[in-house]
Amino acid sequence: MRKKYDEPMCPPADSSCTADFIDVKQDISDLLNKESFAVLATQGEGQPYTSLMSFNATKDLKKIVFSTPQETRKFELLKKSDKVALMVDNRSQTPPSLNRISAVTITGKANIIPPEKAQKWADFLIEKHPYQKSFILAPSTALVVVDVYRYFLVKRFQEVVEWSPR
Amino acid sequence: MVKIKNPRVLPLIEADIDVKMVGAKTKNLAILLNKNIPVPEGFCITTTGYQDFIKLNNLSPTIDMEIYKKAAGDMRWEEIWDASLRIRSAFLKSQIPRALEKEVIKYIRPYDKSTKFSVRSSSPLEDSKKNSFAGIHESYVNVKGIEEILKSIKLVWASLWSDRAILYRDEMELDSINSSIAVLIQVMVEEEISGLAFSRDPRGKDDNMVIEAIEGFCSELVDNEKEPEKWVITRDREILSHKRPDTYKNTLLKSDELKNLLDKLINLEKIFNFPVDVEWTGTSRDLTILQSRPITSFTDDDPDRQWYLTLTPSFVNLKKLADKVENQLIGQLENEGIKLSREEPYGLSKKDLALKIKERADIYFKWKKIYWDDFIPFAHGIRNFGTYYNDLVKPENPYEFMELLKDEDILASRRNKKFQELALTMNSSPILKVKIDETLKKDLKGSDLIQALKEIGNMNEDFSGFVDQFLDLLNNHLDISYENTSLQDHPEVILKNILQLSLRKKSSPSAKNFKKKYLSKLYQAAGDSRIKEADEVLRIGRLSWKLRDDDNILLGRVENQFLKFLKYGAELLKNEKKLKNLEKLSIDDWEDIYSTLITDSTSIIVLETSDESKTAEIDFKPRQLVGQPSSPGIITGKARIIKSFADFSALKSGEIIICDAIQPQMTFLVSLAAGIVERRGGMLVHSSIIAREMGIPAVNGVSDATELIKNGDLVTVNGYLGLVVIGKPEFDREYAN
Repeated sequence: MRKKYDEPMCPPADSSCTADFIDVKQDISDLLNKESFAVLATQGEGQPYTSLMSFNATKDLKKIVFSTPQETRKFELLKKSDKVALMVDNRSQTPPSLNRISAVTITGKANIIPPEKAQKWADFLIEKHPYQKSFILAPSTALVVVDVYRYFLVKRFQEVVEWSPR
Repeated sequence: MVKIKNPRVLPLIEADIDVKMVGAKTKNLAILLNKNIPVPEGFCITTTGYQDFIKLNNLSPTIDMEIYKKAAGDMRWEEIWDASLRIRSAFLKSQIPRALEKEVIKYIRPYDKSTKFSVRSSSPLEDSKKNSFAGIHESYVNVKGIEEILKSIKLVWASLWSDRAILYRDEMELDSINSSIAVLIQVMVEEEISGLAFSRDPRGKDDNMVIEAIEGFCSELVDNEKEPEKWVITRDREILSHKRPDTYKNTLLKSDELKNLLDKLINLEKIFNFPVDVEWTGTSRDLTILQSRPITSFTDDDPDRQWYLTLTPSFVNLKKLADKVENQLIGQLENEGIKLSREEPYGLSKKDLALKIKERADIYFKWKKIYWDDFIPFAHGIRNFGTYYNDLVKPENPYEFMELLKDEDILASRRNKKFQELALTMNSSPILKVKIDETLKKDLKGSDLIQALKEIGNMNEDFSGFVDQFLDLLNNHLDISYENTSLQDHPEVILKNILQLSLRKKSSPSAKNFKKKYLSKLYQAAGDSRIKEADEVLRIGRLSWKLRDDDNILLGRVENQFLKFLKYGAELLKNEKKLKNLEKLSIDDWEDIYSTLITDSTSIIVLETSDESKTAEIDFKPRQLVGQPSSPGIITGKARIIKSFADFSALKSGEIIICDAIQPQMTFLVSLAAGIVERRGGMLVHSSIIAREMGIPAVNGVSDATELIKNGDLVTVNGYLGLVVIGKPEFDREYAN
């Protein structure tokens, strides 16, 4: 109990540094595994635009994959600018407490996968979202893989750390 | 009779229901009442009533934000106290649901206006066989009138979130966020004699019974305000011991009265089927049971918990403590420091030096113990005034009360003023400044630097004035140590700090003085009848404020004087090649040095740093850290990590100090800084107070601040929201690809 009362003349033995930091990669990985959907931000003509997407992330967190019908507004925008951001959060799974919500903002470069190389990414996405199999495999659907630059993880309302997979 | 499914209010006789609804205290008394054992009449507000209050005022998010804003275990006691203060403040400003209020009034109305009530906490978790919770939640006695009763109800509810309660649940690993509390309201029954009775000695291993009696009310006994007459009695009714304090001429309990009490006690143990701890009042026919709970204390011998309960003494005990600290201890401590500083270790024989080291160690550790036992608990005077002020005034800002406690005459302020004066003198004489700068560049240290300064002083009167002032600062204000380094021994560092201070633009004038305004607010809220009481609480608060800073400085001097002799002893041993790593000397090494000196043994001491703090490998960049907004304002600057005395001289004017804790010995550094980020959190810690007075933005309670932030990082201190932003928002990586 005295540990909680570290006074000027009597700092607790372990006040210097616990070196017991959070494992940021693990936290991000847990969040991406538990959540099914991400908000995708695209841009064009100076106008940001967001869409809700099903996604899957590779184990090393270097790539995030999603699919979209090719006639959509977001796909048009992606073709013009490959710089995207995604956001994943767990607000639907926690009790209504700002302090217990985690969110991660992801920046990266979107690559539209040509159909001949799409199969392995389609399988990877179906692994997490089997109920969307026919949607993902439809000839009108495109697969997009984002090369992630950075993750910005927000915990406890306002605590922000940055982590890069590469 | 139709029973309501989720009653908000119940008469005591009907309260022998689920303990989750009424709490253990209420349930136990309801059981007794139903067995025709006299207990004071009353009623209970169930936990449903509490929940209604929380829902109506939407208090859950407030509680949640306060309790979970940091990782579990990262909050200091003082930060928890701060969280509690804010929650309590929110509770006091909230409305009791109308329907509930009406029901309470219905129970109170039949009584005469002068009837006194007790308003007690009754927690579903307390008084169970596993968790005692004794004294953890608040109870109020002698409450008169509906308004006071309603206020006391809110305060009992708020005590579910007191620092004590939060820590206790934490320690017992109980679910905090979903906890709830009931309130028991009873007519006060106060006979001339009252006391405690234990059907099994809570401190002994035998199953003896213990009776304690005083002339007066039980609360005085529970708070240790009066010494009781005490009996220890075997199960066969043989009196093993009987102690009567001198204050009582005659025994308080005659033998038939004692027998009557023992009969009741054993009966209660039978009813609950467990050893009981009973509060009672009245002696024979009028014997009334005020409280009965299972004895849990025989498993509770954690000395730390006992100590931590001393942190919140009752006002009577706080006054006693104030008297002791003010009229005895502080003077003694000050004299001790002065006395010790008159002796020098040089030229003593090894044996004499060893004896002196031992003597100084004894003195130092004696005072360190007093520091824990008396000084730290006395700091409660500040918090006591804070709650008193908030209860009466109900201010929008729960820290308004601090304005009334401020005191410019604390030792640290006097010292810091000296620093300012020296910086001003330096600024008024450009030639002096050049001379000082040149001297510092020669990299002179300790006594060599003093010698060089004295030569500068001989040049002219102005210079000698500066040098004299500087020496006065060293000898009379810096005879203190910081992390095993004597500040007095390092004039080069202090002089660099003064030089940097002279470069600093005049700091913004300190905040407006609101003393008068808040004092009249306090008096108005107290009303004529309570002005004297308010003055007394304020006096103790101010004293506590002043001493909580001064005690560190004064103890620092005793420590430094101990260190001076210890260091000399260590140097002797080093010269004899009996000691290695002198630079790692710490107070904890004193016994080794003492015994080598006294026995003149040939063994070699190798000093080691006991706890080499590792710099953690981190693979992420912190962008925004969260703490408490301890001084308002927003500022961006370069980070300067202060981990030890060696870092003091590196601090440049206008940098942001990043440290584990600003200690009273080093508060002069604050005047150099543009902002402060600190690991040790609390609205009342030393740095918050000084930063607020100087108008410097500060955030504290930032976990691992000195590990996550690096020297030279661009840091923004947001003292409005308690945020620290590291680096600029950029998209460098994104653009590069």
